[in-house]
Amino acid sequence: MAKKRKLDPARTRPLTLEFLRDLGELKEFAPPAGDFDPLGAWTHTYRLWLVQRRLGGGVLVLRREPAKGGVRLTADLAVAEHTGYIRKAKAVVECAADALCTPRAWTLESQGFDADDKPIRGTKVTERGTIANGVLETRFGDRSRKQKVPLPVTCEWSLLDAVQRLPGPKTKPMAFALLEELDLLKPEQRLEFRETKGFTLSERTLPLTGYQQVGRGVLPWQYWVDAQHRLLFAFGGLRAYIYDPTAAEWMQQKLDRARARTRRLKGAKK
Amino acid sequence: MKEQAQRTWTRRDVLKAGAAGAATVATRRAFSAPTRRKPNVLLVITDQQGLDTLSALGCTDAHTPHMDSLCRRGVAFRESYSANPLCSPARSSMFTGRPTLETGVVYNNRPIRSTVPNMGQWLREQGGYETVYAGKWHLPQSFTPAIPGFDVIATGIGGQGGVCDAGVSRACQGYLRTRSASSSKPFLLVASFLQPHDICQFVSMHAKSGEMVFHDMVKDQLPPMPPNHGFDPREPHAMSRKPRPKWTEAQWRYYLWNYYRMVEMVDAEVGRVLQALEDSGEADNTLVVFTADHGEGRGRHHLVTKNYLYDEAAKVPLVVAAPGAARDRQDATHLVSGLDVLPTVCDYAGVAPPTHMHGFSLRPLLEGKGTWSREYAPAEVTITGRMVRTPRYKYIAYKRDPVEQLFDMRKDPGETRNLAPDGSYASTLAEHRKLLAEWEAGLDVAPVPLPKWAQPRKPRTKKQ
Repeated sequence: MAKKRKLDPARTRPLTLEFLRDLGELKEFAPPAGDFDPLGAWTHTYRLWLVQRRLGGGVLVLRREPAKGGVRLTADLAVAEHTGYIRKAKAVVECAADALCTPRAWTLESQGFDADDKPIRGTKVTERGTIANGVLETRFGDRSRKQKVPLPVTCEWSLLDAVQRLPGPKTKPMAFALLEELDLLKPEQRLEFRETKGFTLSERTLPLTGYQQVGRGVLPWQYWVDAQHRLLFAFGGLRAYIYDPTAAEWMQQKLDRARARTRRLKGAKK
Repeated sequence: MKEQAQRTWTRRDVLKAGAAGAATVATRRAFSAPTRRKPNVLLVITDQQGLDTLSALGCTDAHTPHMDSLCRRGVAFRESYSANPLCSPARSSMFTGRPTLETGVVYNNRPIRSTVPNMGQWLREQGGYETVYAGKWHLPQSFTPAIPGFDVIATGIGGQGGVCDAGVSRACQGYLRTRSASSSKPFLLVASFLQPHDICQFVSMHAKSGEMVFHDMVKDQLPPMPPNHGFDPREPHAMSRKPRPKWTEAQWRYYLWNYYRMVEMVDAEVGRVLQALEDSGEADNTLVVFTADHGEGRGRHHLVTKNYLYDEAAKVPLVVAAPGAARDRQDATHLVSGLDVLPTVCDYAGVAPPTHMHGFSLRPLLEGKGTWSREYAPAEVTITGRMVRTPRYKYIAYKRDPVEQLFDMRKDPGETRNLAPDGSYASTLAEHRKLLAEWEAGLDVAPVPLPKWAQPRKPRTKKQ
């Protein structure tokens, strides 16, 4: 009788901090030390963990710099699959210095790369965009398009910044529209305080404050910040961002293994 | 049932068969000679999306503005059936116009029979199309850089639509934006998304624990229970192995809420592709077909996922927006099938379809001209399951299974009362058995090795 494939334990319970810990996915997690100013300049690196962890993963590097009259946010996202394919998206977003870190102007590039890290033809997208007076204008090449957006509006990377400035239990629920990857409009989002709790990890208890977001076109998100208001964990349905300054090396190792496997398979086919 | 000699489909075969196919079609009905530039074709496929999940088709649990906009641009078919409500099989029929018994893809992870050309091969060779594929294929591999007849834009991250679908829509956007406007060739672009298939992960993650992490925040938004959550237990034995979680009502409704968010997620990705098509300036000369491989249980008959023949799994969206055809129309009369996708695409492309088609071009229904002759929609499932859907009834039977099902779809659209054992329906049952037998007798069945799980076994009996 054929051997029944065993279900990956990662797919046996809903995603929570405790479940990630029980799976051993936070074994290497080192709580960041030192002061943190959510209003200052900072860089956070996150490991993108997928419930289908055998098939892929990624890295998100988020940088915040106070700029004249606002904030500059840079998001570098790389998502890789087990074959070595990787999609990279980079956005440089000029934002308002407001509660939602509202995007005002940006450039975004997205491109796919193959198992040899070569750009895949036809996958490159470059866009520039602005939002002013409830109108989103997107420019690409020599063309542009305009679209009305409900206000307030923000993007998923701005939210990762914004939750670090929320006042914990005193947070009033916030309603807004989401512009995912700065072009997919998802209205009727709601973000609110969830709970504060001590999260035990390697015999140490981290005081965490949690927020949660639900809305159209997204699976619910949870955001967990530490006592310094630094965002350590964010979960959205079947994926998690885990604070991890070594995430780039982690992904490189994963990619090297994936690419070696792909080369082996190609060799075997020949 | 006859069997063709096994051989691999080559470019020469496509050209030769094209000439034969053209002759066949010419005798059947006058083939519309293209009077203008050949239209482009955009085929958008989602995974595990039931028909009644679009706001435009009356769904109040999800908001699907982009799919709705497509309904306004074309015709939405409300009696649309998957040829086999499972990923690989359904796709094999969609891309070949042939039932899965003929494509050889009667279960997942099988390739299309080598003698059967797919849509990409056919349109590239017969129509001179530039054929491009982005996203899930699953014939046999889910995501692969090599699909016969297509240039594949690798988009990756199989298994998780919430992450990979952005790669698919971005790839299509990139293609449509960078494709040379002066290109002399029309294009066939396939955008094949994975959502709302992530519901499978949700089901495994919640099957045992039932933990509802976000329930408190969404408890006032949960969709109601389906009216046919209960079902007639006189089911074929094959159904006893289908997934029926033991959830509370709150858990069922929470699962539904999550499913509809996944539908909205893929709606946004579809929107990105449709917007890119508009931006390309080619929208007015593009045939857009939107469909799905199969549906999702959604608690109807106490079921989740797919791979059975009740409507929640077997009915899929099929929306066609064609240049010069009807707009903003819903067709609730005609029985259509995934088998019809390729013949329709060929018709608009001005290309005779391959021989042995079991589907029909939808063009007469889209343009209100010509005749439409389908008497019933057939479907298959799990190797031995068969369905015949006539305008009034649905008949389901599994080989070597004494239990048959017959539903009056007009009086009982939820398929809750099996009429097969009711003697007053004996003649209806006999008619449907006959239709099924005739349909099967006309098939050129592909030889397929039976996997272990499909070997005949005794029905389960309760211990005394």
